[in-house]
Amino acid sequence: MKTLLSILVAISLAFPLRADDEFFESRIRPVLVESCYGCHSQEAGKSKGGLLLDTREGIRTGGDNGPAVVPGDLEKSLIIAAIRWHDPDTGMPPESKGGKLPDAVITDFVTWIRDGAADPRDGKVAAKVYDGMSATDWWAYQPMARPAVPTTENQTWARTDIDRFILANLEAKGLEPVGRADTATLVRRLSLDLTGLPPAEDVSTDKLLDRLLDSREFAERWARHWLDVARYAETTGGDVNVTLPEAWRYRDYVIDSFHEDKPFDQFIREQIAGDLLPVESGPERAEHLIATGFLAIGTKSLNGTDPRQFAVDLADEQIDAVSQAFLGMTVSCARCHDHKFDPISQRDYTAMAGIFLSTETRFGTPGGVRARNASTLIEAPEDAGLATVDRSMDPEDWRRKNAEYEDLVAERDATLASRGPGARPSGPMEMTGFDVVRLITQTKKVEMEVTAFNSDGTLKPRILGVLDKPETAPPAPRRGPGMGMGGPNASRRATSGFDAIADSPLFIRGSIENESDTVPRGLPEILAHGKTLDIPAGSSGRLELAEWIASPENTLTARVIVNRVWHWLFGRGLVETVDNFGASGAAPSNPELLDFLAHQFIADGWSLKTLVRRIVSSSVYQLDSMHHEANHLVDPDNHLFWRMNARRLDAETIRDAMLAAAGQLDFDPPTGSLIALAGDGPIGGDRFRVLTEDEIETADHLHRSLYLPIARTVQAESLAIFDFGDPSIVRGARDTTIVPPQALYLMNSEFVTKMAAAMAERIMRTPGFDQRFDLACRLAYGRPPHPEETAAAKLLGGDNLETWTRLCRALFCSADFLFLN
Amino acid sequence: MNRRHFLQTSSLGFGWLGLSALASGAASKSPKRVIFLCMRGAPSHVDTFDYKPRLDADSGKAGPRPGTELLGSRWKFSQHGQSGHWISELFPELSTCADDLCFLHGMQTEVPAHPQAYLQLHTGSSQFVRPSLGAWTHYGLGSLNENLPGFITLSPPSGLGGAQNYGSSFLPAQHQGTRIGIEKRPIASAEVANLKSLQTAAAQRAELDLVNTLNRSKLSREKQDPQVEGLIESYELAYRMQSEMPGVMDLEKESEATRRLYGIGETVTDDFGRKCLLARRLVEAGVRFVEINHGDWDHHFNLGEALPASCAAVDLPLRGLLMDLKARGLLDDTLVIWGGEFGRTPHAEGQDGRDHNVKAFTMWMAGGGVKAGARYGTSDDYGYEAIDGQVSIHDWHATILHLLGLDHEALTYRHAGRDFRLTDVHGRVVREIVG
Repeated sequence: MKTLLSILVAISLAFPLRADDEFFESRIRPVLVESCYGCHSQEAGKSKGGLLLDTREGIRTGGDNGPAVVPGDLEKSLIIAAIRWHDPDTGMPPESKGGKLPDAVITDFVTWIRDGAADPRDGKVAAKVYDGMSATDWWAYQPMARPAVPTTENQTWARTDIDRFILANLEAKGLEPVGRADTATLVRRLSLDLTGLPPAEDVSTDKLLDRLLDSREFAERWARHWLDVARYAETTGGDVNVTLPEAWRYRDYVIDSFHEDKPFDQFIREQIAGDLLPVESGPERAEHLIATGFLAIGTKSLNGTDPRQFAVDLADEQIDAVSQAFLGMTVSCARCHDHKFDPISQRDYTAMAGIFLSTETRFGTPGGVRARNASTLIEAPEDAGLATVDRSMDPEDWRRKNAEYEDLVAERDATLASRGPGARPSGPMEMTGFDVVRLITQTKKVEMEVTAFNSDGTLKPRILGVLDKPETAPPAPRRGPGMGMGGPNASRRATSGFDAIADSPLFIRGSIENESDTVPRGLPEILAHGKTLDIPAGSSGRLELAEWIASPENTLTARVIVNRVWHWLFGRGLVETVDNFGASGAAPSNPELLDFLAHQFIADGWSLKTLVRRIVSSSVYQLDSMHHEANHLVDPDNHLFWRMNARRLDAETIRDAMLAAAGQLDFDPPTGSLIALAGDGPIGGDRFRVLTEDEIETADHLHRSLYLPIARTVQAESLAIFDFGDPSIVRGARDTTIVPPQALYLMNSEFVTKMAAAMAERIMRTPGFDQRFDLACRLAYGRPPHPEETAAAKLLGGDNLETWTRLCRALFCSADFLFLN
Repeated sequence: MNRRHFLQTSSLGFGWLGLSALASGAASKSPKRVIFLCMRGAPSHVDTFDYKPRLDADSGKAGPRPGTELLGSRWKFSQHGQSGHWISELFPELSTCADDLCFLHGMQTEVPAHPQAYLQLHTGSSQFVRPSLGAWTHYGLGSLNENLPGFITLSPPSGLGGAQNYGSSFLPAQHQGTRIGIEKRPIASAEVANLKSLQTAAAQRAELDLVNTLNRSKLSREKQDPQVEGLIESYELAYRMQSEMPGVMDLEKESEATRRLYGIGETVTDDFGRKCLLARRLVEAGVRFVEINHGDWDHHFNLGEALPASCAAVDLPLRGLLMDLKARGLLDDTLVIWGGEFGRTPHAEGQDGRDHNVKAFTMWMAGGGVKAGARYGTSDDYGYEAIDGQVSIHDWHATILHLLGLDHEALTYRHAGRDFRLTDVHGRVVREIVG
């Protein structure tokens, strides 16, 4: 390559020529072949940027950005800017492919194009090829099969059809399932899996499954799983981390939905389009609006100066959340280019983007200091009877604040009026831009306080959610006082430009500065199997999108949720990449079982409780987690489920189990959360914050852990340390690390010691060391101790509160407490 | 899971990736460590390290941005060392180390607002949640000391993206930075969470022995369980951290002369001096990546008083750090990086301030395979815009990884269906500064 180029350089310097076919053959084609075809040719099967350079038609038609070569026109020939490396980001060939060409070669290209770009190459450009679109035969895009229940050699082990599918797979590999777990193990497993709480020390097994499924604790446990998928959090994250004090209503909505076993298809429709569903009462309307909080709770960068950029980023986040949560697809990969792996084109993305850009997201954040992109919240229907957190304002204070607010507005408007864009600061005080920002911020802060309360000082019940935009745009607000921020960091435009229901333009390379034609709102073409959305006039299309996602014909939706449920019960999905069913994800280990479960789930009216009941009633769920050498040699990672996977408990379960064992757990749910009580404003930072990061990290109460405040970028220590993870990302599966900071927390933290001490006091009400230790093990492990455990415990010495505190802490530190067998 | 496997997968693991496949070809003969001195708020380059005589000459005239007025630097610049680096009188101490420094005068970033720029500096993206530079480094290289975390950040700000700036995002959680202290609180009072045992060493050892017995009893019942083996190891490591970490954190172990070298004990330099000395102790003990945050450099007004104060707080400690690293033979394999999220305008804001400038700013590096005494990139005559040798944040990241022996295009992690990189689809290694 180097040699070839240096020869060409030598030739170029020696023979200045007029460019003709021969010039192309000797000077241009070799460079294209050497330096460009690797990424832009049919032979290589690559057309980066939609660009093919291996035919005349290809080079002149060009790619996403326009023609690479326009004969005689150097300005319009994008290849010239690219090889001149005008923009280091888009310079060609890229650094990784050898970097900028020698100047003499670039001069040849200039000569060639200037003289008419003679190009003797023939051949048609094949239809645009990109890898993803050829992945249409991927299993997840095929309609679900109706697999027949297989017959197995072993006729006694299987209790349910689920077992027959599992067993057939095992027998095909010559494996046999290990034995059934003992009763104590099963009771603990069932209790922790279904409710996230350990069994009471004297639990009865009579109708245990019914009782667990009916309990509110079941709904809390499974709601927390869904909240992971829904990237639930009570702050915006992003550049300025501002609270979402009404987000807890969505959390409680999810709990209530699981408690009443709301059909999952309805649950989907409510979260995507609750605002557009028919209702019969105010409470029902409120419930549906709260459900759409799913679309409003995502990460946002409120500080951005461009409302148009903010709008497309918001829609992108919604596309990402909807497609990953419900479909297991990463549609937002197609924002800037066609999807690399899946049959989702940038046009498909844009079709969905139109739906969300026609949607108004009402997330609040009026108190964000640097929140240039705040919105209002939705006022709850008056007859909804929504609870509010325990906050109020003295009516006298409210009147005073309201007067202060009016003064501030007047001062702010007068200041901004005297400062046209780009003008030098003037006015009596010669306010710096910084002073102006301060004034605006102060105004916003007071506005936030005044608008959160009624004039009688009671807190307004408000909802975080979405609504359709109007059919026609309201008159454009004039840029001026009160618009944007004014001052030195003013917003770049008055509105996003997405002010009414409309289709979205395709943004070339995802850049809002580079608009192409608009794409009708609709579905990803191939995923929808030719189905199109029939969107009535004056509607965003969200309801129709929701109906398509929640339809039994959708090849992804039911499979994705039954797989997640399987994952939450076994620690691994039938498809291991639970959030990615695309062609870059994993194939199912037992595709027939997956489809069988999905069919049954739909036939059962999309009932999650029935699904859970079916799975936990199987023999495979009730297997022991013991090692088995012969099986291990064939299937070391237990892909085929010859045993139960032993799993480390998740963060909430560890904390809740300590509270329960200590007898300290408050089963009653609180109203709201620490963040709801704190109100609107930033977390951390030094000005106007409503909570410090420290207050989040050390947050604690005796309620279940899912009621702890959930902030982005900072979490309660008890959650963060055990892989709670980042609530900005859809995550059907959490990490389970085993790292020393967790050990330090268990050994040395105040919380664990407090729980151990409370548990010690509890067991010391029982007389006798052996009886006490027996009770301690039942509380921590759900079983009586083994003799060697009792012997080891005695070695610690003593039978006083201090010793029992240390003994109880040691139990919390041990694997039998931290793991589920 | 055997011990070796555990070490590879725990936060204290050695050689997380093994790396033979990733080596960028840069000197990999010795392990590399990083000390990133992050100057939050964006220092003014035209008053410190980017000498612009035309700016002084044209002070008061119209600036390159319409409607602005140039503001010359009120501080004198002079050349230092063999390298002839121009450094302003605000850094009298650091300028004695001029020949160790390598300047990047063509730095550029995208968004002229602190939160976005700060996030981009740390994660490559201001828009999406992405793993931080330190997390990528630790993911790529692992730790050098099994008793200590591999990535530590000192006094990070709680705003500006908060923990995202040292987060692991989709990388495994063990690559997350361990935070010590928080911005605006003196580092002298900072500590590692839960490091302090609530009981005597003997009592704790007895308790851990009981935990050990309980866990081994489980292990023998179940014949094989890698997770339980991992748990047993984690208690031992945590136990060792308790004993090693406070020692590393204890600056009293240093001689009076060393402490003076960093300006500890002097009101102006004490806090930053402590951070620098702590950073040296941490990398010396085998921590792979240490970040120090120090602010506030956001001088919109009162430049005349505030900038000298900010410089004075760091000047002596910076020199102390470089001299101390050198004296201990650590500078050659420790990459020291200094800079903020962007620079400041050559024109005035108000009477005595400078606004945000993303089109040109200066950062410097020292040690760790960097060409000492070199400079790369040029801003225009006023320091308003880089005109040559432009270095984007992606380029800067690519270069740092390269200096550590990592290829920024090969250091990937598969998440949500695609391979992610610190540099996304960008990044150019600035080979000109590689020694």
